[in-house]
Order: sequence, then C-alpha cells, then structure tokens
Amino acid sequence: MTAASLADAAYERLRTALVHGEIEPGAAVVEAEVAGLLRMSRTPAREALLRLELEGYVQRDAAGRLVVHPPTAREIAETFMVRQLLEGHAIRLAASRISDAELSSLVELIRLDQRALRRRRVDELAGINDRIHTAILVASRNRTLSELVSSLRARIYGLNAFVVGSQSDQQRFVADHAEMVRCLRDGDDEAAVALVHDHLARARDLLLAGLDGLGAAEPSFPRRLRVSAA
Amino acid sequence: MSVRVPLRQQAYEQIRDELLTRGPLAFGGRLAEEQLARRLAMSRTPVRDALRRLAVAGLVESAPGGGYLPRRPRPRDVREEYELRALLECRAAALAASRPREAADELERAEAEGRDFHLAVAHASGNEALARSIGTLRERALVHSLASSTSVHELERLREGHRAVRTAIRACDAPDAERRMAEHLALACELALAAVRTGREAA
Repeated sequence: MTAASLADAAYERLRTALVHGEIEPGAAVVEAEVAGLLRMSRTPAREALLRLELEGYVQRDAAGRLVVHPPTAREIAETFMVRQLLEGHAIRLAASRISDAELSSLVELIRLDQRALRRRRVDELAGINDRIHTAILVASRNRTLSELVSSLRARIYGLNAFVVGSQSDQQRFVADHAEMVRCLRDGDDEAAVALVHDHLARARDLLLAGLDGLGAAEPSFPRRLRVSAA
Repeated sequence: MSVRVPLRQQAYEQIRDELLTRGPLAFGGRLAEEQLARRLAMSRTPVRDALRRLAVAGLVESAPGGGYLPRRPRPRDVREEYELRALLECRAAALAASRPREAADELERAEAEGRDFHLAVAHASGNEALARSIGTLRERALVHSLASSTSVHELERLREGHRAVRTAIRACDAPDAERRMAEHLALACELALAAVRTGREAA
C-alpha cells in the first residue's frame, strides 16, 4: 500500500472505532500507540490523526495531547439545537432532490437497522445510525451543509456510541429512521422536518441523561479494535 | 514564558489572510507547498498542514497536477452558503435578542475592538456550537465578498442593515432581529453573486 492509502486506511479504522464507541471520550490518542495498534509506521498514523483533528473528532488539550473530545452537557444541548436547524433543512432539501438509487440504499439501511435491533446487536446500531444520517445529508446536495453537520457530529460521536439507551429507546430511534425514509419517499417534507426535530431532541435527552454514567476514571486508549471499517 | 503560536497555525493564518485580501489572484493563482514554505520561511510540514486545513475550510481546492488553487466560487456555491448563513444567523439574532443585556455588551465590545459584526451577533447568541458553525460559513463567504469591489453606496446599505439588527437586539425584539438579519443577508448575497459573476467574466 502507498503511504497515502495507508493513511486513509488508518483514518477509516480510527473513525469507525470512534463511531462505534471503542475509544472512550476523554481518552488520549497518541501517534505511537495508533501506529502500533494498526501495525504501521508513524507517518500514516500522523496523517490520519491530523485529518481527525481537522474534522473535530479529536482535539488538543492544554498540554498539547490529542484527546477524544468529551462534550459537556451545555455543549450537547447547543450542538443539538444547531443540528435540528441544519438537519431539518437537509431533509427538506433531500425530500425534493433524493435519487431513486439513494432511496433504495436508504431502504436497505433501514432493513439493516431493524435487523440489528431484532438481534439485539447494539454494537451495530451506532454505525448504521451514522450511515443513515450521512446518506440523508448527501441527498440534500449541499456540500457545505454536510460538512457543517459532520463537524458538529464529530464532537459527540464517542459519546453517542457509549450511551446506547434502553431497548425501547432503540426501538424508537429505529422507528424514527424508517419514518424519515418513508417521508423522503413520499416527498413529505413538512413531516420529515418535524420528525428530524423530535428525533434529535430524543437523542439529545438520552445523551444528557447518559452523561453522568460515563467513566470517572481516566479513560485509556484501547489495546485492540474490534470493528473493521465498512 | 510567552505563548508560542504553533508554526502550522501561523502558516494557516498568513495564507488565509492573503487569500482573503487578494482573492483568486493571491499567490499568483496557485499555491505550491515548496514556494509557500520558502516565502513563509518555514519547513514544508507546517505549510502542508495549513494547506490541508484551508482545503477543509473551503478556501482552496486541490488542483489537478498537484498543489492547490484559491477556490473560485460558483454562483450556486454562493447561494447555498447564504441560504445556510440565513438559517443560522437569523436564529443567532433572535437568540441574542432574547438575552439583550449580555448581547448588547458583546456587540459593544466587538464594535470597540473592530471585530466582525456577524461573528459578534453569533457570539451574542450565547450558543458556542452555533457561533462556531457561523464562523466556518463566514470564513468561506469572505473569500468572495472581500475580494470584490463594493461601492460606497452598497457598503452604506450593508452598514444600515447592521444597525437595524443591532437596534432590534437592543429592543429585545426577537422576530424583528430575525427579519432584519434575513433582509441584510439577502442584500449581501445579491452583492456577492454580482461579484462572483463579474469575477468570472474578468478571469
């Protein structure tokens, strides 16, 4: 593999690990450890970390260490208010712009979402959730909008996967996703916007409630990663 | 001990400022790592980091054959960006009007320090995530507004818009603050579109 594709692979691997909650918020991410974990030299690991930093997944703390951002309650509330505005706008645009192919792949994602729920594969739900929200953003055909939402989501990803909620919470989120896709199929933009608004409010409340349950001890970087990049 | 600004941050800010003042003509129209490193008297690593960040920020785009070009916005990009600015900045203005005392202080401070009006309203909203998103959009939009020549008359109309928003915020009138911001951004979008069209014709 070339240096650039190694860096891409490292980026995908780390981002997937973050989305799936394999790296806990607050954990320091050290170049040498990443290189060791992914069995590569430090240059591609460094490239991957730079990209994650630019996109907001990890941030430098006062001591200059890269850390998986641990959001505060206030930050979560503020972030979700902006997401409601932006993702509401995105689904409105998507309702008139989505292609048949995009709609089919969303229908497939909903099937995967429902299957993961049935099989109680909580570890899969976070990744599928990520892909559904991303697919709707892409269908909005506004790249700036997608990028703004990505950078907002990047700062709460780690936490998102850690707070999985009860089974009835999960059922509700999966049902919301299916309903969003139905609205997109029917071009029902008003209902879609209202749904995204409520869906994100539910996600916000769940994260806020789960914030207290997070580890009080200094989280450490994992020794191995389970999920491979999609 | 003085606080040291990391080299990559210095590189980012210097290149960005040049792009914002000179627009598409900055750096002879092309940004090459090696030349920039020489010009900024730095090694290539911080310059490479800075260029990546500028690409993420939407100020440059990678060029076929290597290096980067200052981004030349298309009318469609301008419309999209202003649509998003209206969405976020109208909310910021309304939020600022609902906390008038803090907001008025923030706006006054910004004015005294000569800071950007839109960023001041964004911060006055009290929502940091909102302010950060507005800041990202603002940086992009600056590329095509600053690089253009706006007439004295148009500048006065834009300033009048700022005054109207400020007055509504001071009066705690959230719906009016929102409406005034929308009107002001509609005008700014119109001017930016005209500038982009002229720039493309001239190029």
